[in-house]
Amino acid sequence: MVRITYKILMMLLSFFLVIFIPFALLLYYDTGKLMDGMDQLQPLTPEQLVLYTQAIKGLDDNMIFMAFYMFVVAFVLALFYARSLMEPVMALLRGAEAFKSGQRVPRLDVLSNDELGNVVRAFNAMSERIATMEQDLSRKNQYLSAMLDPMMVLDTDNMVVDVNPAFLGLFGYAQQEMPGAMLFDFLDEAGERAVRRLVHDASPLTQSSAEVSFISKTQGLVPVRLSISAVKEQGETVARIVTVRDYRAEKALRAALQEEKESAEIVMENMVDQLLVVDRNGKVLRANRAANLAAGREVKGESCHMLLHAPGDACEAEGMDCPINQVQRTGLSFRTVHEHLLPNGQCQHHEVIAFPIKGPADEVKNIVLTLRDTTEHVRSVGQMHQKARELQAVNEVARLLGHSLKSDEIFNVVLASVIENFEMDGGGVFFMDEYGKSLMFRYQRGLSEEYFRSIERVPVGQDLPGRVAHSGEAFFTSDITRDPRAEGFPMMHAGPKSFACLPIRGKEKLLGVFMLFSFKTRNFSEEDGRVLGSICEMIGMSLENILLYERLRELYDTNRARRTEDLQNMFELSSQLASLADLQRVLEASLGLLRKSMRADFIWIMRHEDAAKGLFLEAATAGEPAPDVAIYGPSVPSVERLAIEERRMVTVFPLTTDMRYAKDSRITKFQTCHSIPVLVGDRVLGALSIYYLIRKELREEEAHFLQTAASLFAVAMERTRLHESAAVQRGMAETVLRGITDGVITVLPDGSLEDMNVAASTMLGVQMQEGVSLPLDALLLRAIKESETRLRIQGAFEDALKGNRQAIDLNLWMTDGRHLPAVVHCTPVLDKKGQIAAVVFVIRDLSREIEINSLKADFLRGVSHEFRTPLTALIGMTEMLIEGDVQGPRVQEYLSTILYEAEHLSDMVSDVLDLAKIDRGKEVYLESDVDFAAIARKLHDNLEPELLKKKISFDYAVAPDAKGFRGDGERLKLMLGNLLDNAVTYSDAGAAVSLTVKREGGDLVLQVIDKGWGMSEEDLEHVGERFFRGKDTAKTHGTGLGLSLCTEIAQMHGGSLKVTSRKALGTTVTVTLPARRH
Amino acid sequence: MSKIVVIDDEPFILMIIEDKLQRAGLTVITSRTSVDAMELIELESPDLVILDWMMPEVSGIEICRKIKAQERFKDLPVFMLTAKAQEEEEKMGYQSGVTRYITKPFSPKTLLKEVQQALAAQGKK
Repeated sequence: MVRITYKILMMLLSFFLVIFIPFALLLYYDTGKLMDGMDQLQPLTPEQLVLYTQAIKGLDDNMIFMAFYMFVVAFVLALFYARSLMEPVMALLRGAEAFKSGQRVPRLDVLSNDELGNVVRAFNAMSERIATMEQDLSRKNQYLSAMLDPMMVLDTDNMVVDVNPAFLGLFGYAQQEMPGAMLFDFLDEAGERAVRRLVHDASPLTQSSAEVSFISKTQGLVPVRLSISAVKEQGETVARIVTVRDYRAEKALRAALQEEKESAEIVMENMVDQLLVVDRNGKVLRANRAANLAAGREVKGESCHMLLHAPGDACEAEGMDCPINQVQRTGLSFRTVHEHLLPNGQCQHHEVIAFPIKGPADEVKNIVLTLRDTTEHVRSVGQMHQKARELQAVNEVARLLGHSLKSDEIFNVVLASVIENFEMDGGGVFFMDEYGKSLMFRYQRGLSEEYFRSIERVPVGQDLPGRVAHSGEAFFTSDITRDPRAEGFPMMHAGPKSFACLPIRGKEKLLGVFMLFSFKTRNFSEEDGRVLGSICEMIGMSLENILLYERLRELYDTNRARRTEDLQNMFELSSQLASLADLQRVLEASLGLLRKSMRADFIWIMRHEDAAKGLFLEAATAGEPAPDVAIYGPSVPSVERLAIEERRMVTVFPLTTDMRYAKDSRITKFQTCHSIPVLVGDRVLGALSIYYLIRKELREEEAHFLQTAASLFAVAMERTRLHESAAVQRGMAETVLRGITDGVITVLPDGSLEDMNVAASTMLGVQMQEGVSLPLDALLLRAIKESETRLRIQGAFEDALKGNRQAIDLNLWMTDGRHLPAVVHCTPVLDKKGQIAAVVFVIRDLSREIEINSLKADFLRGVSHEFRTPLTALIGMTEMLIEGDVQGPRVQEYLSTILYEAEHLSDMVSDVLDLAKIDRGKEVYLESDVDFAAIARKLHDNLEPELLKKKISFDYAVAPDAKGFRGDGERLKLMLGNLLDNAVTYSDAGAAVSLTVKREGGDLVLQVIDKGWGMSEEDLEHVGERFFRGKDTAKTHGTGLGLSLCTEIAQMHGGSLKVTSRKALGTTVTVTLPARRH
Repeated sequence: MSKIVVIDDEPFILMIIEDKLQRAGLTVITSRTSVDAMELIELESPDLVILDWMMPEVSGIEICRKIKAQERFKDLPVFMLTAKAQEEEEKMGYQSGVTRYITKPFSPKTLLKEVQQALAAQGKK
């Protein structure tokens, strides 16, 4: 303040100096002159007067000049000082102007270092602050606008100050409608009350909310969650912020959750699988219907293992994991397959899945067990495995026999392989001694040394092997201890139960007996018998080969080199024949070897189908015609036919001269032909012929060698035949697979499809051929929409490759858009070595089961629920009457309520029974000519008291051509009675009810019309649902079952029931029955 | 004297409860409709509420939730009297804040006993 005061003082002082001093001086000068004049002029002489006047005039002139001079100087000085003051003030003023007009204020220059300079600095600081605040404010405004939840800002009187765009968007108001509106304008009465309380409680720290209905401009009432928080300044509420969250989605979500839960409940209760909820000790807390049905009793409260085992035996006692203990130990879900022996001796398989239900501290509280009966499935899979095993056994035995000529090796290995493949516990091979008198026990497995020695020699005809050796017929028994055929044989008491004893035949005589046994009972199927028979036949041939080979060895002893070569050839031949790939190729290669070894020019093998068909080429040395060509007709003579007929080796030379045998152009050039029949036991498979261009006789050892080769070919050909027949068997199994309704898909470990049946292709909506070429994931893509389910299937597949089984519930989307609830079982298929050969998916359609069960469940739930209310009257009211709680006229009221509700209960029971009768089946349908006129009369009589009481008129008209309709008269009467009852009940006094029966185009049309209360559209939608009763029914009696009973009866006659109704105008029920039931 | 509000759409149930509880010296206020249940409860400030589950307008469960949502009623005992006898339904009832879940048919004597116990637990007679 000092500096500016100084400046102003200076300005005033200069003003004063400039104006006042010259003026004073002048005045003093002129006045002095005047005074002098005055002093000399005592009496005023005229000269003096003139002088005086002149002085005055001079003063006047000087005064004007001085005054002008003073004004100019004063103005200049004042201007100088004023400028230094005004310039900063003007700058401030300009700044203030700019500020007022809302422009961005520039930074003002500090022109002076005085107070005004300070003011300018302050102004600059202020304008900066304001700019920052403005920025802040606009950002906050943007936040508000960006907020998705609608918001309102209220003043203390709950008047709307501002709303955000979300608010306007949701409720459809315009911004200009907002100012002046009150919060409560948007609420209904109940909402206002709730919100007033909120407003009262609102504070900046707590945000309280309420669910209210908000009046929207465009959508009527919108359910919202409204929260209010107060904005306070110095403890005083200055505004309130209201957020209004659209509550519809949340509401819908809640409803959906509820629905979800209810449907889960229904599914659980109606699952085909057993479902148990057990506590940590295995006590059943909850069981679904399937579990109770399986146990044949209510299992709640029992111990879990009592349901499956003999009482008191836990799963672990049977050597299986207890799922409850597993889940408790690991806290994870657990799946296993349990096998239990039922009291009837049958084996039951269960797939058990256990899930933990965890408490807040992640501890296992309860456990959910799902049990699925997989007995059927396990059995069929077992059968398929059995088939595969048998086929493998044949192959393996053939391979072994082809590979070795060492008897010890062959018999030990063959025995082991057969025992393993047929799941037996042991077996042995007996050889006939050279006199044909007794059997020597040579090779054995699974028997004690002691026992082995005790039956070392069995005379023919004695004991089981002796008897088979004697009769030459195989003997199979599932339990020898109970088989009367084994009566008197020592083996009956040896310990084992199931036995198989088969003869081993050579070409001419019985060579020995093959025996298998098991300590368990085992049924031998026809197929088992055939396979074992083939194995024994092959063993027989091998045995002869071996004997032959041993003789050869003796014969060739002198010619070591030649013998080694032959041996080599024979090994090569046998190993060639043992590989199964392509018989044709193998045979050709073997014949090549044989030609080399025998130094022959041409060899071929003929196949003999039967006498009527002739001889076909099976294989020949290279360069010869394709196989399966008929070489000789049925009656054409040939060397081969001769050999087959004679069952011995035939040699013909010179071939060229004996034209009887040179009928084929391919052999006319040869001089010599040796032909040997190819035999398996007594059965002729064909002939092996060896041709030379020169005349060539065979030495004895060469002939033997040829015979051995023929035997090997016989084994190979027979094996192929067996293999083919096994393929046919497999084809049959496939046909069965195609016929079953469960979808079955076989997938190889690499994910490619091996096979699928018809049911599976229908369920997945793919053609069979197309399906088989698709990989698993592409196949799933078609029918499974949820990627999560696809991943689960893929996971189950990978899991199965690790040897685990899994069941997955899913929905399949059919090509027609329907979805199919199904369960997919994923099971690994093991080959003989325990390796996973494929994964089988079995898909079961659950839609029908779910539908039926849910209908039944709905009904039962409804019944039990509907019974409870009338029972309350009976129980509660009688209790109070007995207790003496009610007195006076009230007693009468109680008794009539009891009577009324008891009647209601009784009506309901009889309706339920009627419905149950119809539900149970249509077999109780009794057909006869229906006399509708008589029925109408009877119904009229029955209704009469009620009609009189309510003064309702009832007319009926039965057309004459209604006669001759055939149906269940009693049921139709019940139906019409129910409909008329309804018509009368739901009409006021004085109304009219009518019944007409007529024909319309052959169909019979029955109509019951009333002019009663009618029904709302809403009620009409639910008509016919069991237990449904309309809104107006409080004042009437009824069970809600009548109309559904009527509908059932109409449908029983192949007809339909239709209800049309208008509120307050009446109801028309039309039943149309076709003349003929379909 | 304790005040009980009973809401059930079945008149005879209301009659039974009213007769039984009134004889025991309790004040009973009944309503056949659930539309204005909350208003009634707010107006009367009862010491205990008995609700039916299935009512045509607003279900008992919903009313119970609304009651429990209010701070002043958070300790108010609510009895659910219903024909819904499934275990899950009972669980749902308790989840919505019901104090006692009683299935129909019920014994008025037992109901009275339960009501008196609940009131005693609240420290009222």
